[in-house]
Formats: sequence, structure tokens, C-alpha cells
Amino acid sequence: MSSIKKKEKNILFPLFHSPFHEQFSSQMRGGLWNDWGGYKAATVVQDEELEYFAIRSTCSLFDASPLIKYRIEGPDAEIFLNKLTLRNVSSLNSGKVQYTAWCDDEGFVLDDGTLFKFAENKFRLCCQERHLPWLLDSALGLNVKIIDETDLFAALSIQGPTSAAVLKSSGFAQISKLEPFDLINLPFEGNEITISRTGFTGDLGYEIFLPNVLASKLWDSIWNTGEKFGIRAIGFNALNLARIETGFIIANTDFITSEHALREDRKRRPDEISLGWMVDLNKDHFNGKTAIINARQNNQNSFCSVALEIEGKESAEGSIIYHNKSKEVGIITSAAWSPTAKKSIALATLQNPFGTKYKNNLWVEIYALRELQYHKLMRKVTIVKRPFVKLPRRTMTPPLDF
Amino acid sequence: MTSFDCIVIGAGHNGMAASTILSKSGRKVLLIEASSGPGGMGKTIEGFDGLSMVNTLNHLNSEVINELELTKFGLEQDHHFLKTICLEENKEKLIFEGSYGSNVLGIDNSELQSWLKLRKRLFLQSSILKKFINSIPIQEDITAKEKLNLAFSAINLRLKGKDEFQEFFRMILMCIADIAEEFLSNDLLKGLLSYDATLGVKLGPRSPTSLIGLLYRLSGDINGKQGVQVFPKGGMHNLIQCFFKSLTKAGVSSKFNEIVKEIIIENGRAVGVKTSNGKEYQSKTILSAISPIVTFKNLVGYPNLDTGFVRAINSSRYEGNTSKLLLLLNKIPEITGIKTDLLGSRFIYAPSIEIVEEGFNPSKYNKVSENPTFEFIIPSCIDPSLTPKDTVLVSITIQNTPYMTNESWGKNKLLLQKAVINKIEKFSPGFSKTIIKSNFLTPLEIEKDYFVPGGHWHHSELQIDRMYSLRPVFGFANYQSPIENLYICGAGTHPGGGISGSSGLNAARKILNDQKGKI
Repeated sequence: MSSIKKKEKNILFPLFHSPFHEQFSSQMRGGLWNDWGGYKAATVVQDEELEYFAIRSTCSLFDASPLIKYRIEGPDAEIFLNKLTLRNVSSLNSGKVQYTAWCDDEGFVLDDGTLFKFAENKFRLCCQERHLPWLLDSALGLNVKIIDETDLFAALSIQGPTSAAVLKSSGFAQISKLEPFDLINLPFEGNEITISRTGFTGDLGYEIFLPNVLASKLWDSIWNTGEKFGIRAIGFNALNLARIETGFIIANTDFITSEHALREDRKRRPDEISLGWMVDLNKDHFNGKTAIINARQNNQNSFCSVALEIEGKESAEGSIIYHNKSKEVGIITSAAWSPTAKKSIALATLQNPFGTKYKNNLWVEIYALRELQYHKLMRKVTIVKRPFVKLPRRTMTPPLDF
Repeated sequence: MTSFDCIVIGAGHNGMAASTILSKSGRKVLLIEASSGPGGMGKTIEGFDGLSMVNTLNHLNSEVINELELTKFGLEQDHHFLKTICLEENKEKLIFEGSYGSNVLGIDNSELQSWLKLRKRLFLQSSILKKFINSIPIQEDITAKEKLNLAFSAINLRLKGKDEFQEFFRMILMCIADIAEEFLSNDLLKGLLSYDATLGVKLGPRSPTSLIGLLYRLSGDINGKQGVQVFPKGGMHNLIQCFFKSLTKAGVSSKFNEIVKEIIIENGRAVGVKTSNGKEYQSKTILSAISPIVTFKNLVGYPNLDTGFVRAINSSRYEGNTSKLLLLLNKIPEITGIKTDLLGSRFIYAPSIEIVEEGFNPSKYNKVSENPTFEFIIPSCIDPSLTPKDTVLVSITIQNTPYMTNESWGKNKLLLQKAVINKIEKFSPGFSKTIIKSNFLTPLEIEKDYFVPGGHWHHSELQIDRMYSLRPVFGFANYQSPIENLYICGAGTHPGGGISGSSGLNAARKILNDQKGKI
């Protein structure tokens, strides 16, 4: 009987519920959900614009529990991570977080993610896609334990000018000493949670990782304190706008990961998606090292990723980029009208040498639908430095109480 | 620390061939071998002078003979050509003569005609494969010359006529049993083909792709004669000595009883080796002629290699499936119905497709067959000078013996030995009473004695998914490795096991070509 009930439940809810599902669904208006790695994740909770402005003006709560999380421990954990990832893990101190990426044999990017170092040879790797077989095979010959703890730990991202104030008022005063990319383990309800000063918004903000059982207690604690700081539950759309303003890329949106690409020429090396800076050729062997060196020497990197400002106010999502208004040279991968920068901004992939050698005379063709008629607009684009929106409060330590 | 231009790991015949060629190019070469003498699986087995793991040849690459000037160092070319005699109780013996059955005794004329038709087709297909088997496999970066060669092979095949062209592509991935049944009716003949096609690989006659094993075997030639099997003049010992003399003359320094423990890697380049007695040798180039599994897993270390490559290497199937039983007898055995002058033949017990298949079945489940298929030769009857008077050597090869731990083997080893000897007893009454000494080498013992994990004759399965450009793994079939300056050869690389010297020759040529005259 119970198994039948369980099955019925699965039919009604084909997607997993995150530990924060109750909290988000109770606030949900409109029922805009999306599938994030098999989890039911909010696209918009109540109002997209209000949610965006909560990130930039007050404080936002985003359910990041579907993030894939791997616990990596053991005597060879550091050696393992140095082999796996592009950056040098030996230079990462305990209590720090590193944004990193990893490649296959041919130097094509498999994913990017964040690496948390709790202590010597104790790490957590967070990313978009599942990689357990790749991680386990990369660990052959090494003494390291890799555990997929995606379903064991919930994650909550609290971002916005008042986020520090909310956390401090919720009893986590120690977070005020955290600098960007610092992490701290704090006691909570007889258990332990991890708070790191990280995020995907380019704003002042923190990410909290906690055992599933603590989810509702932590939510209540933060939500009740947060109400007077203008706290708001947000969905992916608001976060996405904030991350475009920051110039962050998303796997399988701004580039196709090696394991997902069906077409050989869609795979990208780090240098082709503006992650070339991560590649540390001074460390010992790591996956893809030889291929990355060869590609650099033989000029095989045929693409580059750029940040663009577009004249006019139309968003250029999915548009094609031209050189001299005639030659097709690339495509916009993410675009938005930036409410904070007050500009039309975009992230794009260009074919070399456009974007590297030829940076001028680039145009984007936008099809603007105006009352059932397309207006074909050829708009000038300018390559700019990331981020589009730079906020001093993101890095200020200790953070100000807004 | 001593410094060399080139270090070769493993003094099997491939390692010896490669070091000789590299040394002749003016390079200072060091050859390091774990065991006490040269030869690898061609090395003489203690207590059985004149015998080694491998005692016969199907294919000795003539270019190796020339490059190493083996004839100058005592290689005589008048080898003993082995006839094959198929044995079965209460059945007329089948005698396979000439180069792989160009004449067959013991079958009626219509069967002989059918066989000759099939034989012609198999020989033709093998000759097409031969070109690929001897050359360096093509890679992703295929050159114009290689493309031309491919096209030439295709045209060459097409010129044999539409039928042969179609037959090649129809048959190439089929199983030997289907082919044998399609053409033949004699059980002994079908059994022989099944046995020869599947010997040394974990396939039964009804396993898809098992025909290719036979084509592989037939592609070999000795002194230009395709498809023959010979007992080399003076035994394998003499052949190995010729290799070793050529090597010494070429100025290669060799070290025995020294196990390479680590290939030293600096900045992604192989720069030297560390050995078991704590010594380090520096070198600009390293060629590993041992099992690719050992080379990459133990000597280089998986952490130094890309994960995709590690996956491919680590998934190699390298558990052996063939055993050797060596016997010393006190008199020459008599085989019922066989004249003394035929005792220098290869005797085979594989009387039907079914019996070969049934012998294979238990090996899938790590069990030993109660009725194993096997072959044997009596070297003392081929070359009496090999053994002292009143002793007779017998070398038995047993098919489908799984790789298992000593514990799992347990009584099975004795049972299997008994099964084989009892079977021989049926054909040669009194045989078992003449045995003075025996030595049974299962894959487990071969692993220990020859430093080959799994004890596999070919170092890893020689099947379609690990042949040519896929051997040992895709992208590294041209004897290169992912580590700069580290090359590989030996049975685990193209074209596989057996004493041919092709992989050693190809690897040495690859190194010379890569370094373009520079040392």
C-alpha cells in the first residue's frame, strides 16, 4: 500500500523537491518552475523585477540546493584536485573558496564550479553538472574519497546590500570578518553550517550550506529577521539578470560543455570562454594540460568570449554578430537590458580573430517584435571589460550595514 | 646518474629489436630487463632446456631479420615446417600439410575442394590485412601517403573481383563457426579452424568476430611462405640468442635482474627511470617494451595521465586465457597410427566446433573445462640435439584456462593436467608412465614469471576493439604515449603478440622519424 502511495506521489511530482520547497512554493504566485538538475526550482517566485531589485537594493534568498556537491577528502585530496582542475589548489588556503573549471583530455571544458577548502585535504566541489564517474576515474591511483552529497546538503544564497546585516541579526555575527571567497563553519541548532562570502550576483552576499534537516529552522530564523531588511525569495530569472550584469558565464548557456556537445566544433577550451586565466601551467600534470599547451602553440583556439555593450535599449538575446555589417562572426549567448548599468548588455562568443585582433566595426542584428511586425535593427556593439556592474560593497570588509 | 640517449624497458624480442635499431643509428642505448636473461616469453624455461613459453613462429618480420642481420648472428632459415595432425578417438586422423592445409590427408576429395576454396579466400583476405598488420597504424592526423595506401589497399581488394570484395566485408566480423559450417562438413577440420581462430583470445568459435583471429594468424609469413607455422632451427633459444648477439654487437648496454620501478617525469616529459636497486638512469628517450598496463599504471602512474586515457588503458582486458604444460619424458611417445617421421608435427585436440565452444564456456565463469582443447609438439622429435639422450620434451598449449588466484585454481590445476594427459594417453597408450617431470604454467604463473599482469600472451586481449588504430588505445597506436619522449612497443601494442618483431621495429622507426636524425 505504502509503495503505491509513493509511486502516485512520484507521478504527481516528477521532479525532486528541494529541502526549501515548502518555503518557496508557499510564496509562489504564477507557478513558474523549472527543472534544475532534476529538482523543481523556482523561475519566478512573485515578480521578476521586484526580485531583481531585492538583489540590488535589499536582500534576496535563492534556493541553490540543486547545486551538485561533492565531498572530496583523503590524504591525496589536494593532489587529486590539482590533477582534476585548471587552477593551483596548493595555493588555496583552508577557509577559502576558489572559482575553477576542469577539462577533458583534449582540453575541452567539462564544467566550472567552486571549490571549498575546509581544512587540509578536506574539500567540497560544487558545480552545475553531475561528474561522479569522471571524478572517480580521475582518482585512480590516488588515496581519496569522493562522495556525492547533493541530496544531503541544502544550499541557500543570500545576496544583496542588507544580506550581511540579516545574517548578523540572525546570530551569525562572525560573518562580518569574512572577505570575498572566505568561508566559515558555524554552529547552528546543535549542528554545523558553512557560510561563504560567495555568490553569483556580483553583489554583497553569502552562500549557506547546511544539512537538509536544518533547512526549515534556518529559513525561519533568516526570514523572520530579514523581514525588516526587505528580504525576498527569488527565482532564477532575477539571479540570471544579476549574473549577466556581473559577466559570469553559465555552462550550457554561454558555452556547451564537452560531455553535452553533440557536434565536435561546439566544445570549448578555457581560452575560448575567457577562463584562460585559470590555467596554471606551472603545476604538475592536470587533465587537458598537454592539449591546452598545444592549442595555444598551434593557434587552435578558434573562439573567444567577450562582454558587449549594445547601443539602443533592445535586448539582443540569441542574435548574430557581424563584422562590417556583412560577415557573420559570432553569436550572443546571454543578453539583457541592465537596470543598474542602464544599458543593453550581452555576453557573446566570437570567432577569432574577431574579438581578439579585430575589435571594432562589430554589429549585432536584432529582430525587435513591435506590434506584430519585426523591425530588423543593426546595432553597433562595443567590447567592454567585465563586470558591467561593479559594486564596491561586494568586496568591502567588514561589510556595511545598509 | 648515468645518462643515455635511449632506455628500452624489457628485453623481450621486441625490446631487443628496437634497442638494436636505435643503437645502430648512433644512439647510446641501455636495455633494462627484470628477469635474469633476454627473450621475454621466448626465454628458456628452467629445467626444460630447449623449451620456452613460445616455441613456434607464425610470422617473423623479414625486415627485422634484415635490420638486425640475424642471419649473420646464426639464424638459419631452414626451419622445421610443422604439419598439423588433428586427433580424435575412433576417427581417422586429419593431417594438415603445407602452408596451412595446402594439402589435407584424411578427408574425401569433395571436402578437400571445399576447403581449398575457403583457404584461398582466407589467404586472400589475410594478405589484404597483412599490409595493415606490418605497418604503423594510422592516426587521426592521417598523412596523404597513408590515405593513398588505404585507397591502394581498397583498389587492390576490388581488383580481385566483385565477389571477393563483397565477401571480405561480409566475412570480416563473422564468427569462425559460421564460416566453417558454411564451407565445410568435416568435424575435425572445423574444430581445427575454430581452435586456431580463438587460441589466445577470450572468444569461442561462436563468438562474433572470432574469424579475425584466424585471418591474423594466416597473415604471417616465414621466408615468404604465408600461413605456415615453424619450429625455428635450433629452437626458440637459438633465435633469442641471435637477437641478443645482434644487440650486443650493435653496442647496446644491457642490465638484467633490474626492475624498472618508475619512469621519471619532469614537466610532462620522460627524462629517466628508477630501478628496484635504487639506481637512476637519465635518458632523452624511453621506450617501454613491456605491458602497457604496467607502463602506465605502475611506471608512469595514473595521476600523471589524462583521465580519458587512464579510462581507456584501465579498461583493457588483460586476463590471460591460455596455459602451458611442459613435460619431460624418458622416451619418445608412440602415437597410434602415426609414423615416427610425423612425430615432429603439431598435434591438436579440438575435434569439433562444439567441443571448442564447450571448452570455452566454463572459462567465461572462471571455471575449468573437463574436456579442454589443446595442442602439443614434441621438440625432441623435431631436433634431437635439443635434449640429452633419453629425455624427450613435450610442450602442450591448453586453451581456455581462466586467470584465477591460486586458491581458485586449487585442485583444478591437477584436474586439468590430468584431463589433458589422460586425453593424450588415449592417443598414445603408456604416455603418462613416461613422464619424469612436469611444469604447469597457468596465466597466474605466467604473470609472475614474465612480469605480465594477467599472464596474457598478447599482454591484453587482441580483439577487434583493440586492434590496429585501437591498440593499445585510440590515439596512441603509433607507439607514442601521452608523455613526451616516452614510447611504447611490445605485444600490448599493434600488431600484438607472437614472435615477429614488428612492434619493436615500428616503434624504433617512429622514434628515428620523430627525432629526424637528431640524437
